[in-house]
Amino acid sequence: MYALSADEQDDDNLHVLTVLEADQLLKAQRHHYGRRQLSAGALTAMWGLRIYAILMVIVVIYSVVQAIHTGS
Amino acid sequence: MADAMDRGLGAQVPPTTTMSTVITNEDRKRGRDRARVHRARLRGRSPLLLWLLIGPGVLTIIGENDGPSMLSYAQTGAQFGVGFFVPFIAALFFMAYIVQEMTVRLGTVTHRGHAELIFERFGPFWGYFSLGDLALGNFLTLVTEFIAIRAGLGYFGVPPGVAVLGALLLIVLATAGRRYWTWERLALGLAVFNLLFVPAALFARPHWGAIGHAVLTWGPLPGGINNGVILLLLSNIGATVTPWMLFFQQSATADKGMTRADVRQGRIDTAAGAVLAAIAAIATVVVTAPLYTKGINASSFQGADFAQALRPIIGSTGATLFALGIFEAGLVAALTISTSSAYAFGEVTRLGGSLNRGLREGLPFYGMLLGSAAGAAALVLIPGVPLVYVVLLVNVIAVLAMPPALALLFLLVNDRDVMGELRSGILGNIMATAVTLFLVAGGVLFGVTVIFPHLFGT
Repeated sequence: MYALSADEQDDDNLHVLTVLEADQLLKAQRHHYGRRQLSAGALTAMWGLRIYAILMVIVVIYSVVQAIHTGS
Repeated sequence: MADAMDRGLGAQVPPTTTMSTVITNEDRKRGRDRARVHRARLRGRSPLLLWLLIGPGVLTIIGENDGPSMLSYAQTGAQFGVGFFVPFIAALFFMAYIVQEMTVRLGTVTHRGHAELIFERFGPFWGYFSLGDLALGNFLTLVTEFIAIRAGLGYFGVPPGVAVLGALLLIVLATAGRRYWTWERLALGLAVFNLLFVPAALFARPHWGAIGHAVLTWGPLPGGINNGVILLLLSNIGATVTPWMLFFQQSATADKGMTRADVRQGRIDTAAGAVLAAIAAIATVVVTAPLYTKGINASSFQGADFAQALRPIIGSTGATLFALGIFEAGLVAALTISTSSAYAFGEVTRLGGSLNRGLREGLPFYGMLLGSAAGAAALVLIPGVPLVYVVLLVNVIAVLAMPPALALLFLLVNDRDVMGELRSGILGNIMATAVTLFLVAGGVLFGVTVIFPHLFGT
């Protein structure tokens, strides 16, 4: 099986570095966006969504139990 | 060099990377794909450029024309014929484009998957909630896809075990190349067969005047507006965009290595997916419309039942095309949905994941992909499993999961720190807000009617 020489590997790596953006490289130091700072309105909406998400889980469990109960 | 020239930086290596940066095999594979894109762009070969970049959008929206969706369109045609639902379905796919276009911009700008970005910007609650609800919803949806695969091939007398295991083998083979490009081209080749419903519709000898009348007047709607029609409308609205579509398209866009320079082609890709999927969906309505005109009650029909009922009307060739279309719908969706689960799992657990990854490094990714598909396939083959609950539950989870999914998508695409100059403009936000509110309202209402049917007299 053909193995690249050291020079050929360097050329190959350089080629990869020039066609991919920095953030696309797996091992490169990635830019971290960090947590988004939300406005008061957005924060309220997010908490509302959290409550909705918990209610959604309860509703799904209820519909499963109801379906099983109806079927049995 | 070509990528740097795209960004107007001249021929230079980006300063944050050096020759000491470890280049992985995944990077090399993605680099090879990107090199072809750069060469096509530099040489001004627009058709080739589009060909190279098409994929995530077409696969996502055609993937949403899955087994249950095509059967839903078949039911619509059989119950209402050619009329109101023809332009209605087209409008829904336009809305799907509005939503999915946002994931194109997110993927090309951030090079990150949807779940990873949610985790990073909104924290672990939303990261793990998104993963959990996606994994559960996707697994149940995969079960319905294998049901469709079984039904589609069952028309030809293929035993369920052979049909399901054959489909599973195809999914394994698609990932075996460990190249995103190979997986994508195979999936696209299969997705084209979603258009089998078009020649099937031609065998139904459609009344073109009726189709034109329906498009122009949004009518007729037999029986007018009643509870059953409202339920069907809400169900269709709620199913226009499902969570896996958001996660898959953004992650696939990032895995494909698309950049800001490719946003235009990404939009064309998404629009093409919407147009092709709308054509296939409308064709399905047209192909079963003769059942309505002949007064055949198809309300309890499943996949193979439609093909059987259509055979004396549209002939055995038309019925064969219909059954093959149902099989294809289930298969392509199984490919894309299992991959979306794997992407989200890798992103939230920070184990990473890519269809370009080798087997050893990508074991968690491929394990999730193939494990979820195999688990769903097994459930379909085990006798006595109450699959009817699965079908009921998957619709409820999909519609109820959309409000947070769409809200987070909207926040991300308007995030100045993330999107820069590609954040949504005023017109885009108006359209996205209107579509989002419409889809959320329809979906939640549908979910409520299913869970509390007595409140609505259904």
